[in-house]
Amino acid sequence: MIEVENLKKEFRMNKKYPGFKGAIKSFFSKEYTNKVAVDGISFKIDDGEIVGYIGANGAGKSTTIKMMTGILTPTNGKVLVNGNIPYKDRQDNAKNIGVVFGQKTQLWWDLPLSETFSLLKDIYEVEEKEFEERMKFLNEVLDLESFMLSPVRTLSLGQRMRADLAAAFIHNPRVIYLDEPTIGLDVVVKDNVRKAIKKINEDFGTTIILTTHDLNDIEELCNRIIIIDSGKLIYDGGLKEIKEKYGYTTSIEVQIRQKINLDEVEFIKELDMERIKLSTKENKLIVTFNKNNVSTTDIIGILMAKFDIIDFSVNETSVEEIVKKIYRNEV
Amino acid sequence: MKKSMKLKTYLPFAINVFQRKLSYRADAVIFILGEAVMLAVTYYLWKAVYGSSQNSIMNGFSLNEMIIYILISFITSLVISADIVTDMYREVKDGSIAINLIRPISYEKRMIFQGLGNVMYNFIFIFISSFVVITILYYKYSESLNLFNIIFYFVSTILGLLINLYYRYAFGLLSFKITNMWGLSQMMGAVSELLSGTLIPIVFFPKTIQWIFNILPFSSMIYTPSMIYLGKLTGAELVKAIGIQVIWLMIIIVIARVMWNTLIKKLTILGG
Amino acid sequence: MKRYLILYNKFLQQYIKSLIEYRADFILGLIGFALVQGTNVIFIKLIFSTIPNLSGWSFYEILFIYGFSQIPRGIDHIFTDNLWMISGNIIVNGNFDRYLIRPLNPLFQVLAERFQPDGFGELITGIILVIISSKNLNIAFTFSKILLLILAIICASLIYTAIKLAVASIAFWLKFAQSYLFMTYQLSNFARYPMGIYPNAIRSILTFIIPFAFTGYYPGVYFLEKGNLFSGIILTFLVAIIGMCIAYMIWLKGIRQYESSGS
Repeated sequence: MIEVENLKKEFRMNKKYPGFKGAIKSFFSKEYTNKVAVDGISFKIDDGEIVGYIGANGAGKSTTIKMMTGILTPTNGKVLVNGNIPYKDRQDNAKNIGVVFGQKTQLWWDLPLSETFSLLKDIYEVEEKEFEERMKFLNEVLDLESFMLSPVRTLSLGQRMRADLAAAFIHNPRVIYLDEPTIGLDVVVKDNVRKAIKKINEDFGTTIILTTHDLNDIEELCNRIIIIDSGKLIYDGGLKEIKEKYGYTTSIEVQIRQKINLDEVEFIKELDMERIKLSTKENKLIVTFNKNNVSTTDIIGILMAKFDIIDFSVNETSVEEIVKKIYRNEV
Repeated sequence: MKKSMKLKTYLPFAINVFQRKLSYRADAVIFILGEAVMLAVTYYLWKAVYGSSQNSIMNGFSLNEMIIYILISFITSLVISADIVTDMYREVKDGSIAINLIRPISYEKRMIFQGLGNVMYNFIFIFISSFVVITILYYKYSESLNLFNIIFYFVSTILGLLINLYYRYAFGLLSFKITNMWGLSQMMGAVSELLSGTLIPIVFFPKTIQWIFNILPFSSMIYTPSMIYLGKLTGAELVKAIGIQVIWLMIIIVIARVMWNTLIKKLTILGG
Repeated sequence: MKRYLILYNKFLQQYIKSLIEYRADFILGLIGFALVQGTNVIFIKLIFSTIPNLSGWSFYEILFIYGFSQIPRGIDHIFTDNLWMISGNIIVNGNFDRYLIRPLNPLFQVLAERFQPDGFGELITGIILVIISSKNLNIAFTFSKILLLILAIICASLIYTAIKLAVASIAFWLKFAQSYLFMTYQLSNFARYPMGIYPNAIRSILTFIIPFAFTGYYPGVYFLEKGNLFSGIILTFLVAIIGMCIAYMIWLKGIRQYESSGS
């Protein structure tokens, strides 16, 4: 179980002045600027939960994760991971966690992938039998066989991410932290990675904490979401509640062969009474609606029946928009 | 694809390297201090050598001349040097060379100009002041100053500079094929250092070896200018030495171009 | 402790396996450093072609001191080469976190990751020079003397490591410390010749502040029977132990600094 209480992290940075003269001034100045990255966050996570930890860039997500994994020491507050204080009992805590940093790899760059696992087996003191069983499981769930013998530096991003996830799990840790694990991956690989994470959680009861910008990750995996903005916790609850409370707006931009008038498409609003917004410009139609009440396919279906559609694109609500909405509702 | 021939195109590369070094000024200074340590070791060593010798003049060098020699050869080696090899090696290792080869810019010229940026930096921030100090010292020791020698020192240094840049460029081309450039460059560094007369003037070597060294390009880079500065190469010898420099410059450019044509086909690029 | 030995062995095996792929590089590196050694020896030979002795030291005595000084340099080069990466790009690129995530001493991980056989060039040259010069000087190496020699070499290697570790750790505060490491490492070049040729200021620095003098000169002259047991062996031992402790403390402090200020 993970307990975070009033966690605070402040960074003191030397005040920097711009320009060349500024560089000299900065060197001699004793002034500091204080940046509060995490400002008094508290939450409890039970074993086996999959928690999505979301927020805009710079909101404090990575900083929190770093404190929970023991890489960063908090300025204030308390973190307990299964009885360990991560930054104090770092090596003990490390035995029971796995981490995937989206942009940095943990694998040994010049060695074949299989050797990374062999080294990890020795570092984490995994028993031979368990190791074999888990490798088999990971091979199935992440499809690693095809590049198991290739040097890590030759792997594609998708392969490397799958390998990093496997490496984080090989010792069956109680908690796995995933910091932007699907960033830059194509749709197929993202799907595989999500399925793998889900299976690991289901079969082994691993607690999973996931930071991401991709709401589809949240949709597929998390039952609980914690939203952080400017270092403060602004939401901690279930995914369903968010959808119900703050609406789940999507907009479709449709390109039609003919020029289109607003009155020609008014009928779409019938699908969800007045809760659908429409706007037209030349051949373009933008439909904004709530995904809970009406599905994308319904709208597209109706449009295709009536109009000659050249192309359309779907715009999901971004994390930033949900965050903004939450603020508006709080106020 | 036609490669650009204009000077204007390549000047920015030189300026870019110059600015980059400027922003890491502290690092560059400390690095040079580190090199200066070897200078100090050599200085004390020669002092001890002369102290242990019966003669005050060895192979035509008095102690004062020797000190000036190691000083002038040190700053000469500093001003003609540019770390082209590391830049080339890094580009190959991280794959950024691919995009640079696609641009309509001559790779050779870009590298040489980047090297010149380095030279510019070293010249302005290190060479000028050191040269003045050394020349003042020299005047104190020898009571005379030969403008002729100084001018030809600069002529010779510029030639040595170009030879060095092309030599490093040609050497750097090897990184198209070889991955452990570090070991190789250590090797070439040591060899060229010994052969260039930086540690010890070539006249100290046995006569037969001297002859070989004087023919090789390494002595042309540092030894020749330094000896001209000290007034030890004059008249016909001076002309001969500068002539050898010119010939070597031409040879090394040809070698570099041949290597380019061969190695560009064998480029093994690492990185995803 | 045993676990660490087994793990280091595993890392080493990995390195040897990857060696097969990088055969040419390995040989080049070896030759490269051996050649550097060669040019240094030629330099000494050339000097002695003009003088009978150097400040009272004969050719073979100078050769012995030089050779002796290269042995610990080589050993340290082989095992702790990754410290250059720490001072250079590992911390700057944010790649240090991965060591903190694993249940293993971070310093061990850093050192075990890189085995640098280039150092054998220095090591082997040093050994050859010591053997040749001691033969020519008729130095009798009794069993106990050999033991002392091994002890001195181990301590001298630790001194190299300690100095590198202390300076490389500056990267935890400054992010990039490679130039400082380079400058400090260059000071070791003083240690290859007798201290007597340097002025007091430099001798003091090399003895009391950056103790490279104990990696070559002091133990070297003891074996040449021109020094004494105290400065040659005992002090070398003490400097090694104290140096490693201080360096390791700086390293640990550096990690704490890294943990409080992030990357």
